[in-house]
Amino acid sequence: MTTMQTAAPVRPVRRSRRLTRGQAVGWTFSLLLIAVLVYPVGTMVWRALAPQGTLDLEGVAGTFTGYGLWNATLNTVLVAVPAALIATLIGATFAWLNERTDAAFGPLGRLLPILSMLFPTFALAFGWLVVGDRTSGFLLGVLRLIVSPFGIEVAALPIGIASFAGLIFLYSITLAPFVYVQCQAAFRQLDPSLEEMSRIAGRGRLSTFFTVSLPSIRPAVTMSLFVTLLLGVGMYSIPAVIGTPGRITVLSVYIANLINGQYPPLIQEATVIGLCLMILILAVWLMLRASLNQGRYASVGGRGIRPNRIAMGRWRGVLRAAMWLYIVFAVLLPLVGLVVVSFEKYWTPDLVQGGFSWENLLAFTKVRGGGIALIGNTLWISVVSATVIVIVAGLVAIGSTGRSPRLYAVVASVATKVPFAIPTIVIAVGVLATFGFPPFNLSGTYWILLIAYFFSIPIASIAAEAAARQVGPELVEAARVSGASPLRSILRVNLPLMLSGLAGAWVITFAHVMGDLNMIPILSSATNRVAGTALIDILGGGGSIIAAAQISLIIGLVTLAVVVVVTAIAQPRFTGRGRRSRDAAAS
Amino acid sequence: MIAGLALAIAGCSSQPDAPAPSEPSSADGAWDAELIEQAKQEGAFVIYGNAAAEQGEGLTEQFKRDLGLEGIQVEYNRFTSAELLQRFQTEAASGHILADFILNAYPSQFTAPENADYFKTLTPELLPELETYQDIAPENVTETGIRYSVTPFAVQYNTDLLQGDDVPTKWEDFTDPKFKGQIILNDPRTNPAYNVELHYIAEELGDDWLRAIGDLDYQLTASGVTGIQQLAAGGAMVMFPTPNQAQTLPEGAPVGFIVPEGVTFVAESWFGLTEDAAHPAVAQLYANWLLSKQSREFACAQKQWNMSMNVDGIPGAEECPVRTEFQSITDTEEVAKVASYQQHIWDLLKLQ
Repeated sequence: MTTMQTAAPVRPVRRSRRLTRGQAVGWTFSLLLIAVLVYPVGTMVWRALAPQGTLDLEGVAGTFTGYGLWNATLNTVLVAVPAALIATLIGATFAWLNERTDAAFGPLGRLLPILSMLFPTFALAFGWLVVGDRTSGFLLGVLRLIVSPFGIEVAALPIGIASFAGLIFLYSITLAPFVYVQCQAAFRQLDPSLEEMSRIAGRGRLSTFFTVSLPSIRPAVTMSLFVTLLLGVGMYSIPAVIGTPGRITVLSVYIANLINGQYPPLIQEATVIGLCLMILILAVWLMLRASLNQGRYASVGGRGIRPNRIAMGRWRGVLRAAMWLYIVFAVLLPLVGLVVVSFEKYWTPDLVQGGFSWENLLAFTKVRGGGIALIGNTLWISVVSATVIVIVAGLVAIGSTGRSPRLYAVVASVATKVPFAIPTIVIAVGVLATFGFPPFNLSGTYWILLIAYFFSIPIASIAAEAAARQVGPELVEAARVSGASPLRSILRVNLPLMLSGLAGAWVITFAHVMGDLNMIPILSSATNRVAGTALIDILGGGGSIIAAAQISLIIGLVTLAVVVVVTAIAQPRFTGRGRRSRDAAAS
Repeated sequence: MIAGLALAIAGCSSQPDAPAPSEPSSADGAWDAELIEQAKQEGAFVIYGNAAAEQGEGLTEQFKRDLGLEGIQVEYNRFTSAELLQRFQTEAASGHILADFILNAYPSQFTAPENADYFKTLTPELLPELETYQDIAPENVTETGIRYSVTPFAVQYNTDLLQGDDVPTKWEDFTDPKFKGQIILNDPRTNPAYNVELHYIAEELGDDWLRAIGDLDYQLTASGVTGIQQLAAGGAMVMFPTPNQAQTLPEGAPVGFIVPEGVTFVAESWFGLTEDAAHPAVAQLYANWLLSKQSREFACAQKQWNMSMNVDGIPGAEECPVRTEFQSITDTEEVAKVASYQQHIWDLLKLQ
């Protein structure tokens, strides 16, 4: 009934109007996007659900009786939900401190909170295992150094990183940067007058933060919470390296075990679980979208005001110390662990008698294909992938948000969310089957990796939508009233004002592709090797884990350098291009 | 031409530890020059294998040196068995198998009816060395696949923490209370080989053995590569089931490898030649070389590869450990059989 009522007014419009050029371009773009994103995944999902050509309901039902599935689901909820909440609180608070208060770090210091996002999660997980293992971690070694002069022997730490608390802690500090990037971009774009009025009206700093600042950037906070939940559910390296020793199996590890722990691999079961997750995720996203469409939050207005930073008084030092403490735990400790291991002959908590060696210092150069060359390949692929993804996600976000979202853009927006929960191996096999052989014949080329990485679009798409929502409609409308074409409005108004948010999406996507280990096993071969290929070789028993740690460290440093440049380019709207775009709209 | 490819078994002098070319030899005098010329013209060779990259490439490098094929561009693509199967099935479905040569753990990869058409029938005409191999080890040869080597899954231990008589020699020894909290167990949910090993031990020693291990507050690891690091760091006394992973640690790391008395599972390496290979001559030469004495001498000398020929009396394999009590899985039906027990194993180990 509802559908008919909704559909009825559309029909005469279709009959009476031909497609405009813009609509034709929009639909072509959307259909192409659907073809690229949905076809490879769709065929693989269908093949998994109907291995003999007809739907195998018995097999599908059997998925839900799998050993440990519900335990893994419960563990996922117990870890991912609190971690997402903690990460959102940390990320949003740090963004506010850095953008709105005098506790802010300097321009480069603002990047510090995202450091942990720049290193492959495998490196952080292994780094933390090296540091925080109950029986062999460096923290135990340090404790022994301290207490042994008093004749006290310590066999193990009371709690290690391989525990529920350790997992939530690691998830939280790893996810917080994703919130920080989005909220920082939103704060940068936001007119600070509301916060200033709140302060003038006598509200305290904390009260202003919770009742004015956070609600003002509701799209960014909500979508960040959503993204961290998604990432938490999908995270693999940390629960595999840390959760398994703690006997905590989460869904991502469960799915990986269905594929790698059985022969032949249980692709059907893995796909069914992924499909259920995808449906759940799409449902939550649609609800959030509806809520944000009706909601009240601040957006970029027609006036540009440089914010007055809130003075934090005596709390300034404490808050800065808290941010430093976060950086120490999120990045420095695990990285120091990896560096120390690089100088040891082999990992040992006995820092004095373990013996230091220069032997392993250049281990990364000895991997197949040369570590430097492989990292170079990873770098350009990541730059191209992130750029293409963010352009597409940005255009889709502009079209699918605002007062009159275009149907083709909304359809495209849904398509960009499809790949999220599908197991990566299913996507990789789908991409190989679709593009690897004639007529495309891209197997063994870098093109096929670029296509596969395009499936990293869901997070960028969500981030771009948050950025698009933060741009108020009046500037775009002003541009259109002034006679600007839709394309000109997008190029001169939307995109420049979304630049900070899109830069955040770019950084997230870039870091994700730089650290990817999931697409590699199926799609990378001897002719299209990247840094992840070397890591997979090593994790498969083909080399020194020290080399893996070093490659991870270098990937992190390269990612950091690129992010510094991108952040410098993506100026906030108060200066440079942002101001010009506002002026363009106003004129 | 192909018949002239036969290789010499006797009189071959090799230098197992040095990566120098072995004396090319054959029963008829030498490798087939025409085939070698054809291989040079093909110029490339694509392998899909489940052996570690270091091992897979080590073999191909020696092959090139032995046959004077240094100009050939070899692509060794390493996959887990599950990934390899996925990749192969995708290529097969598309009608474009890109690999010339496949090395995998399960013979069904080559012998399953749905796959058999994708592989060449292996005959002494195609692989002259096969005749000798078939005579000595007929169980290692099927129509489309050959079992080339086996890798025992046993026990890695910390040599600082366990020395002399303390080093266990039987699986029963691991239930000793001194191992409480001192065992790193490779999570059997992450690799079918671990399940199979535990299943075979339980078959011999009974469920009580698994139950006792489950009571010992063992540590779990999802990756043998990080597990061996923990072991070397003194995080535990022993780690099992595992192939020898000492090669992933620097020399001098306090890690040893033991194969306890009694039953021990071995992972197998089977190979086959794809039917429509783009580089058939190189693939044919490589398969012959793998079956040759000179290849075995080279492979067996690489102790860190932990390979065994599992065939008593095969020429060139004198340096490889050969044990008769190894058990292995030879088809997917057996894997499925073990899979049906796996939940029972996991319950006894208190994995949840």
